[in-house]
Amino acid sequence: MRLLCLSICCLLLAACASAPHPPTSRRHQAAERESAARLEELIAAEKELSQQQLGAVPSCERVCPFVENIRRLSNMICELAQRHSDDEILAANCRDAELRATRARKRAPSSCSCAR
Amino acid sequence: MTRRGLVIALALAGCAARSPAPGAWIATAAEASRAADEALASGQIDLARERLRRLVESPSSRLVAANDRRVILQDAYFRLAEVELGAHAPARAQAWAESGLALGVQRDLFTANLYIARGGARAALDDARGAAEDYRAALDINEALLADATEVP
Repeated sequence: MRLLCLSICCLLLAACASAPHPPTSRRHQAAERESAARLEELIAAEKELSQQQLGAVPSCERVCPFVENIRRLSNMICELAQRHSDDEILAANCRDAELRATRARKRAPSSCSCAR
Repeated sequence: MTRRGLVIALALAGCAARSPAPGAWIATAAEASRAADEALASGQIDLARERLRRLVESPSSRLVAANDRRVILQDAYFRLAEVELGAHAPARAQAWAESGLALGVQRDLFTANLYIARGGARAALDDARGAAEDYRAALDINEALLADATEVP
């Protein structure tokens, strides 16, 4: 009896060891597919975000002409104030224009030469 | 102050491509603009003035889009004002600039250029506050255009 039980256990263990475990393999493959899908989603999202960020940064070519125009207009206003140094209104215009020129420069992306 | 030549060329090309019917006036305007450039480059101020004057006085087709007509004429008025400023005739420069502004004030460089030209004329006529006012108007426009250019989509 004991021998019979031992034989059955051995057979069962052997059967278990040699079995291909199909449910576990399928789970593994499914998990791999899911991971791959998630990775693809992440790559696509990152690509989209990069494109959005690229689009969000205005080009120096687009921005700098306006920054330069504002700087020159500020200088023109301040030249008037210098020529009429007793005119408080012109002096106030000059101060305002200088502030606006500084603000314009700060609006340009830091990589642009007009931002410095 | 602006890449005027390029802008007007693009405006003219855009107009010509979009509306073939009023093409004759636009072609005449382009030719007058080019001839004025050549005259200015060779120092023929009177000829340049004449070409530009003919352009602003030429009757435009009713089919030309109003805004296209405005920018073409405002550029010509601006250049006329510049010619007069160069010729030390600020009163005439101011008059040309005002004719250009009378076509309509928009938030673009054509209008800004006219304010700058009128400001230069006023400064030459010892109207410093008037000049500053015009320069500030041009600055307002450039500031608004800069805000558009830096706007995150």
